[in-house]
This record gives sequence, structure tokens and C-alpha cells, in this order.
Amino acid sequence: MKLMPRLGLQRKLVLALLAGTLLALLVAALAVLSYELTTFRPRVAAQLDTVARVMADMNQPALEFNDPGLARENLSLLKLYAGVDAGALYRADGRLFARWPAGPEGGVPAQAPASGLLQAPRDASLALPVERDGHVVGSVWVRLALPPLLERMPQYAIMFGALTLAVLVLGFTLLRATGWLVTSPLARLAAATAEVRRTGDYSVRVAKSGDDEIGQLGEQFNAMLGVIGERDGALQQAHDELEQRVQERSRELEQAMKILLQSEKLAALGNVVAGVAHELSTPIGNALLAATNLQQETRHMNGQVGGDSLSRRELDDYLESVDEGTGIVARSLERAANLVRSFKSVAVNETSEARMAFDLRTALDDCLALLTPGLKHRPVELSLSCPSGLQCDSYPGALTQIVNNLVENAVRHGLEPKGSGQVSIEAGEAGGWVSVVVSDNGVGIPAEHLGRIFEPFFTTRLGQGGSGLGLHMVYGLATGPLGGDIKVQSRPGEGSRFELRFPLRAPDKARPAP
Amino acid sequence: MMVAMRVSIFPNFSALFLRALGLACLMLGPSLLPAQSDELELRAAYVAGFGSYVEWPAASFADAQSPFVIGVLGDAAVQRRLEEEMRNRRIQGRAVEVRRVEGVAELAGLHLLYMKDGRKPLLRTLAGQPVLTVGNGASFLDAGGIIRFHLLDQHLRFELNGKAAERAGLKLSAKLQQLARVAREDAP
Repeated sequence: MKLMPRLGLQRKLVLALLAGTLLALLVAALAVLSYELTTFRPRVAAQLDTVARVMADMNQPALEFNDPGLARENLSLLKLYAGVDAGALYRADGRLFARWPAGPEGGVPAQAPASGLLQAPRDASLALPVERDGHVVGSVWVRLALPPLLERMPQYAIMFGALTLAVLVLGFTLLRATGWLVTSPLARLAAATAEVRRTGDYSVRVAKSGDDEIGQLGEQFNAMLGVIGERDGALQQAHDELEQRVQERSRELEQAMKILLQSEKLAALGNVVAGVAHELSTPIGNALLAATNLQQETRHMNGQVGGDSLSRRELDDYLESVDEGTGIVARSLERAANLVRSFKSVAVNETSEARMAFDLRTALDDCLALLTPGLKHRPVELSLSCPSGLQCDSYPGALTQIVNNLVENAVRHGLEPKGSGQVSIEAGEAGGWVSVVVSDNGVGIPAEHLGRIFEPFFTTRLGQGGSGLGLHMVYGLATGPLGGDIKVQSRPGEGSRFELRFPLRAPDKARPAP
Repeated sequence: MMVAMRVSIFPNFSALFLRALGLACLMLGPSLLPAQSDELELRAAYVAGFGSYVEWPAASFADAQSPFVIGVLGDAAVQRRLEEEMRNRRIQGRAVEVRRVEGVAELAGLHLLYMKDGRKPLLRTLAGQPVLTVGNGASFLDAGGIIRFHLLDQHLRFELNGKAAERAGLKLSAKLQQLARVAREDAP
């Protein structure tokens, strides 16, 4: 892992070195070519000119005093000049005076050539007049043989090869030797970065590698880590604080909700108590009236019996009125007893939390008995359809509360704006699950409210006595103690339909009802 | 006789004279004719050439425009050749004046004196003077002359008297000395 980036950088440096060397060699080759063209040839010409002038000066007296022997001797000195392979002297009239080499095989012109430089591929020659005191006494001619460029190329090639080898060896050695200067600090930096990413620990620092750019990079990296660490800490702290505040607020909210629920329950209880008291007063009043009547009849009978004025007809009338009165009393008291029993099963807190085996029909009947007094003065028809004999093992208090709330809800929100209507409760069982459908033909629920009606504190009657907890409580009871669920279907103008489904046997670890 | 015939004034006549001389020589020996003519020309050319290879003291010229004066004693042919040759040429950057010399009276102002044969009294007069004396004859150098012509294998050569040149205050160039030495060493 550490080796790979190091190799990458090394390879790049090597490639750069190779490219640089090749480029330098190319430039050098071009330089040699241009040297050949711009320097070598002109230098040859200059050298030739010098040699020719020396020869001209040296041979002045030989030409003037007609001494070819001396001239030949002088010309033979040309052998001392590297590259010069022929030379000659001519008299003023152009005839050959002396030449070197001596034989005719040297290619020396028989007549004096025109003055000036003559460049040939394989040689260069120069002819100059020999003058003394402005008087031409003859001319001199010198030739320089040039090895062709191609013959000199191998020498250049050897030179370039050696140069390349030297540069490459030196470059590789330097790269090897100084690789740690660049690659090892970078590797340390990479390792530190990986460490930070792996552990998330911003206190990691890179060891200082020097004052060069890489060292500065390391320092900047360290400074950046410091800044990030600080920010991370601050962020974490803010996050923690926020979390704490959210928890506090949630606790407060929960508290408030509990209080609200409690007051809601109390309010419901109050309604029930008022309804029950009102309802109880009628049968008890009837019973009291019947009993008082019986008492008067009996007192009158006692008087008749003591006065021996009791007739057969009067006795029959008394017995008939006793029978009627006791019947009234019995029925009225039975009705009162029923009411009290319903009240017990609904209003007492313990009963809503108590799990027990109960008959669904009985529970719903009790529930309706409680609701009926409250609905008496409203134009609402309440109907129940439920098969009898359905035995449940669940929380009847919770069920009563749910039905109570749903009916209350249907009456208040569905039917009241309309003026009148029907609320029907249909219960049934299928596959171990009970379904209780509470439906009304009221105004229905707007679509935008449909998804929110089970939310706590969602109410369209804020400030008009609605707590916004009724349906939330329904949802909590349905999904909590009963272990079922509740769904709503509604269309504006067509009424609403709540379907509660729960198992015949409630789940064991039921949450206590709120 | 020869003295009376001035080449510079009568070139045609001189040519006739040369031919006549040539005929005379032909009678003596035909082989001598071309050599004689060549030698005359060479002699004149050599005398003019010597002026370029010798250094005179600065005092021997009056000023920068002063001519280089060549005196010829007793050789009209050479004198004519020289006059012809040097008409448009310069020696040491100076114009050349060729003068006929007959005696000591005309020696003043000369830089170079060519005499056909060595005249000892004249040479003695010139001893120590900055005049380059060129002449012929076996005893010319012994008499105090500086350059002596001689024939070697029918080639015209010359010898130098370095001491006489030194006495005269003249510097003979190394090239001249080399030529003279080569000539001497070539000599049998």
C-alpha cells in the first residue's frame, strides 16, 4: 500500500529524466549539425586562408629570386598542417613554379587557378596572389582534404552514447539517493490521512520533514487537521446540546399530554356521570312514585280491613294495583341497576385497564346504554348490529372508550354541521379477528385532513372544546392494548367509516392504556 | 658607346640594339643568346627585389614622400630594364627613381647602387654609408660590396656580405639570407 504511490512518483521522475535526456541529445545532435554547417566549414576556410597566407609570405623571395628549390622546400612544410594534402606555387604569368607533393599524382592544377575559395564535398582549396610592394610576383594554391560528415558520424555517436549513459546513470543514482526527500514525506502524509479517515481522530499529526514545500504541506495539513478537529468538536457539542433540549422538550410535551389526556378522561367521566344521573332519575322516580302509591293503597287497605268495610271488589283492585306497582318498581330498579353496571364498566379507570373475558354484544350494549342518554336530545339515530355469543379475551374498557369516542366524533363532526343523521355500529368476527365498523352519513372528512386525524392535538375545533386527543387516544388504544389497528375511509359529503380490527385474544404483553 | 644610348628616350632603338647584341652573341655561341637575355632581365628584377628585403635607417630618407633612389654604374642595359620595370612600381612604399652614376660625385642620395664590376675606390668611399651595393666579380664582396651576383649552373644566384651590411647600417632580411645560404650550400 505504501510502496505503490512511491513507485508511481519514482516512475514519473524516471520518465521525466528519460524524456529530458533524449530531448537534450536531440538538441545536441542538431547543434552538431549546425556546428558542421556554420562553424566547421568556415573554420576550415579560415585555416586554409592562414596556411595559404603563410605560404605566400614564405615563398615571396623564392618566387622573386626564381628559386623553385627553396619553394619546394617551403611547400613541403605543408605536411605539418593537419588535413592539408596539396599545395603549389605559380609564376606571375600562371605557369607552375613548384608543387607539393612532388609527383603529378597530387592533382595539382597545371595552371594557376582563379583566386578564391573552392568548396568541394571532400575537400576545400584556396588560391591567393603572392604580392610584394603591391606587385604580383605569383600565386599560391593550397588544398585541405575534409573527411565527409558521415565518416565523422561514428565519433559523434560514440560521444552521444557515452553522454547518454553518463546522464542516465547519474540521474538514476540521484533519484535513488534523493527519493526519500520527496516520496517518504509524502508517504507519511498519505499514511496520516488514511489514519484520520479510518479512526476519525483529528489529533493525529504529521512529523515535520523539513522547511521545503513538502514540509510546509505537512504543516498546513496539521493546521487543517487542527481546524477540522475544533469544528468537529464544536459540532458534536452543538449536537449534544440539541439532543438534550429535544429530550427535555419531549419530556415536557409528554407531561402536558398526560395532563391533557387525564382532563379529557375526567371530562368524559363527567359527561357520563351527568347522563347516568339524569337517566337514573327517571326509573328511580318511577319506582319511588309506584312505591309511594303502593304505600297509600296499603294504608287505605289497612283502614278498610280494620273497619270491616273491605269489599271483594276493593281487594281485587288493591291486589291489581300492588301487582302493577311492584312491576313498575322492579322494572325501574332493574333499569337503574343496568345503568349502574354500565357506568361501572366504563367510567371506573381500573376497568378500562382490566383484561377479562367478555361478550362482545354485552360490551357494545353497555356502551350504547351509556351513549344513548347523551344523544337523547340530538336528532341522531344510533343503531347496533352485532352477533351475540362472541367471546373475547381483551380489554373491554378500551373497546368501550374507542366506540364511545368514535360515536362522539361522528356525531359532533359528521352530523352536527348537517343537522341530523345516522350512526351505525356493525360488529363481526372472521378468522379470530373482530371488526367493529362505526360509520355515519355526515359531511365526511376533507382529504387534506384524512392523513392527520390520528395525530395528537389535531383538531378543527380549536378553542371550541376540542382537545385534539380523541382520535389519537383511539389510535393508541387500538394499536396498544387491543393489539389491532384502525383505518378510516371518508369522502366529503358521503360520511366517514372507521374500521377497528383487533384479535379475539389480545396480545399478552399489552401496553397499558394511556 | 653604350652609355650614349639612353633606353628611356629611345626604346625602339634599344630593342634594335639588343637584337644587334643578340646577333653578336649568336656569332660567339648560339646557346648564349637566350641565357644572356634572361639573365639581363633577371638581373634587373633581382636588383629591384633586393630593395624589398633590406631595411634602411630612417635617416636615409628626407621625408615620407622621398623616392627610393637606385643608381646604376656602367650597365646601361640593366639601367634601361630597371627604368622600364620600376616606372609604375614602388619599393618600401616609395616611388622609385633610377639614376645613372658615373663617379663619386653622383653617389649622394643613393639607397642602392648596382655596379657591373667592383670598383674598389668607389666601394671604399661608400663604406659605412647606408647604401646597398650590388655587383659582380669574385672580389666584389672582399672589396666591401654587400651583394654579389654569380652564375651557378646557368642560374643567377647571389652572395651576401653581412659584415659590410652591418657596417652600412642596413638590415638584410632573413628571407634574403636564407636564399643566399641555400645558393651557397647548393654550390659545389
